[in-house]
Amino acid sequence: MTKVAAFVCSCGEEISKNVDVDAVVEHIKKMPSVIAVKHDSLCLPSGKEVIQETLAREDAERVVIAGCSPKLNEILFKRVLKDSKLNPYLLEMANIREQCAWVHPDKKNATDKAKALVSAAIEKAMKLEPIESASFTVNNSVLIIGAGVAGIQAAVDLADQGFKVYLVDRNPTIGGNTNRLYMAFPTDDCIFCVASSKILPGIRKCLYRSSLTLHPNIEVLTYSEIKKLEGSVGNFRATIEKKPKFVDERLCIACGRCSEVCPIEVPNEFNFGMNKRKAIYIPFSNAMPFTYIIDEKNCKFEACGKCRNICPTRAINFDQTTTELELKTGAVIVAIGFEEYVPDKISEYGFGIYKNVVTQSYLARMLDPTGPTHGKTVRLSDGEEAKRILMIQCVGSRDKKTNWYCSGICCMFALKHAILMKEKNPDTDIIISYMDIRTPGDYESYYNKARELGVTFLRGRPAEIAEDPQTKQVIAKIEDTVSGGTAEYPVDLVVLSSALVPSKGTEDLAKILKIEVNGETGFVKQLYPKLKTVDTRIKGIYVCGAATGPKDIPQSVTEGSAAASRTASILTQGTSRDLAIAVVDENACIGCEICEKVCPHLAIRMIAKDEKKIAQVSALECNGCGVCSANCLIGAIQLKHSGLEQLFSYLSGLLTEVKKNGLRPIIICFACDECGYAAIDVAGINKLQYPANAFVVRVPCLGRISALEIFKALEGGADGVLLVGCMPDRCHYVRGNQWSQVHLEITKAILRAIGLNENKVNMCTLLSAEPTKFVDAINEMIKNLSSS
Amino acid sequence: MKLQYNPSVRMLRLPCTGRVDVLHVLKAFELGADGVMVVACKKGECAFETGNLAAERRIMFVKKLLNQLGLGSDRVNIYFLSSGEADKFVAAVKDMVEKVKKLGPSPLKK
Repeated sequence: MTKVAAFVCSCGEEISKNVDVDAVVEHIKKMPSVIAVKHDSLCLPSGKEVIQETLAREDAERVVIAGCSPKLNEILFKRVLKDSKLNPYLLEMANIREQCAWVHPDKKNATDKAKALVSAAIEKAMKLEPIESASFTVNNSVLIIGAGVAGIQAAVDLADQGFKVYLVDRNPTIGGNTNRLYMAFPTDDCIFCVASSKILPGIRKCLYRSSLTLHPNIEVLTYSEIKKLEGSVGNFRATIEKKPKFVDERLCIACGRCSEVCPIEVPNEFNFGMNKRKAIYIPFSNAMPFTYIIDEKNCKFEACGKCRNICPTRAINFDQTTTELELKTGAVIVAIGFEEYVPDKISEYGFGIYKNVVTQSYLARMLDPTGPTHGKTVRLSDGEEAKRILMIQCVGSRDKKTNWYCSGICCMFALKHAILMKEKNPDTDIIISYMDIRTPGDYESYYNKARELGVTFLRGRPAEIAEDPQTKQVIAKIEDTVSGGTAEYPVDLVVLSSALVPSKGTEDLAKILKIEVNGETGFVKQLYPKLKTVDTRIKGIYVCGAATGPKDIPQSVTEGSAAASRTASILTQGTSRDLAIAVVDENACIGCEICEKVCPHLAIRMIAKDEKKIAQVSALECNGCGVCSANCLIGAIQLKHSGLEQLFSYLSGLLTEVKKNGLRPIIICFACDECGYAAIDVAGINKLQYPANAFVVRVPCLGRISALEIFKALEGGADGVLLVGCMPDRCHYVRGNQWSQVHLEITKAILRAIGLNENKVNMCTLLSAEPTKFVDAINEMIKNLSSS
Repeated sequence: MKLQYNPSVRMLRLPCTGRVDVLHVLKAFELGADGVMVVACKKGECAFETGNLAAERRIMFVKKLLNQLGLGSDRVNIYFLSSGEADKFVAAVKDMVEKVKKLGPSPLKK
């Protein structure tokens, strides 16, 4: 039989004042092949010595430590095992302080419970298996999708650290949304500033000379889109489709002669059709790469051929076709940004109907001296200077009919534009019609400055916008909700501060990458919006910038760096890990694909082996939650650190002991190792009192628990089973607790069907800061079970 | 953008206008320049934090010096703009050329 060394700690007197530690030691000494040792403070250096001496002398194969919570000192004791040349996973802890001595004042009950907890831990320890660590080779390159400010920042950070970066953008140029902005807050300088790379020193550089295209570690792929992504963290394979520009980027010197001779003129979409461009064109004067491009839809190609004939470097090639290339990368960063909401669905504002109703992006193009109006704010109906301008805030934001969320930066860009116009021409009359002005932090200075410059702020939303058919003036009817009363405001130009919405194709891209989008907003979903802000549910795929929601440049850049840092750490440190993961019994697996479908991190894939389809767990991606094993029909997939045999041994060890004491009802609490177990510990730390009828079984995630484990507990003699886990939507493994809810319902249905009380099983979801919820749930369950 | 400006301007590329020394400006006049213009980043946006402010201080000093020498303080000027404001640069050149034309050729020219 496996030899177990069990150490019982009295923790000074913290444990021994409520638990008869000697009795516990005597009790387990009776168990076969167990060496029991008592100590008063195992976590101190003297305790460590005692453990090491005992292990060396007795040649024990498994270790049980009864004392404080494993949450507190498990890592410390694992190290002691490691120092004693024993695999650290051969340790099991019995929590007789936080979950026993501190919460049960009755010494007899507490001692009985401690005996049961230690015996159960010994039974489980016998079944523990050593878990080794493994290292993995990863590809040292990164694919960045989207070359806006966030993507560029991430690219520069990673490239300077020595990672190979593929910077992919579906547009012909990099820069993203910022290209259209002219001036950016909060510095009021131009938007071409990007973080400079190590090869071009300086604090920041102009986009057009940032050398992104010359950096030895950055490969810029414009006009390219990702079509497929296979593989997993460390070894992704991405298929990129590069659309033809019909101009060779390496040969084009951007002389512009092609554009001069091109006979075809079309509206310039970069300036929202406010001016024209040719069918061969450069998107804007600072475009990067600095290359012309042929617009496939409008060019006549061979039928005309003028541009090809005049090109001095023979860069134009009508035969270019779409090419596909495969990239091998270790990680992916999604930096796909946002786009401006097109407000044509809000009929009362008349966008798309009245020429003099535009959005803030139009205004930004007008204010740009290199733009279509050379810096003049004009009425689009006749090109005359606009002297009276009305800005409308929250267009498509904070409105249940369009987008319920606040777009965050519209107040700022409206104020920025108002100040720019007022500074240029103080006679311009500007009215801002708003619901609330939201300018957090020192952004408030923009509001103050706008007021000082004489911008009129009008609290109220326009009910209707009409046009004078003769003068083309726009007349807005607005109710002033501060002073009361409705008035009509005839203006030259209405500028709608339109919402920020996910860029087109976000959902399709999410499908390709298997990441999630937020169902309510359509932006990419972060793994955890508080602490894992740049992670997605797929390990190795990160997200930054406005891809996850409206953001300004400073926030996007910060997230770009954050994503770069997360990527760098997974590509360097993340290559070695302990294999505390799920393992598949290849003989038993029937290839039903259930585990592949339920895995919250998509770490399981089906492979063919010996003419049979079986599940394979990706060791780098598995987080060891156990949702797969709870849902496996035949138990072919098991957690190494929380397998079925280990749980069953623990339950039988526990219940055999508890039944002897005659304490009723017996309640088994399956607690997840995150909020659930922590909350029960916090109850102990705060010395909250609850009956000694509750016995906690620690599992990685509630998703690990199926009807089988619950019935095993009931069969073994438990009167009730309580599942204690994280709040809905707060599961640390994305949706483990949702699966446990499913298994809870199944169990209840079976109980009903066989004529038993369905209240025998219940679930308690809480935050670790809410220990009273657990105490209340236990008391209520005891009350329910005692009365029935 | 192919904006057009007076060809009498000669560019001298510096890492930062903070590199500009009083001596550099005086040397330019000694060698026959009629005017010296310094084109710097906007105030508060120097990539090296305060280089443009240091340049401004020195240009103000040179202006005083030129006045005392009887050359005219308008022969040296500093302009602040950002890279998105190419039009401002063209305007600056126009302004500079006008000012220098008003003062005539530099008497130091041999």
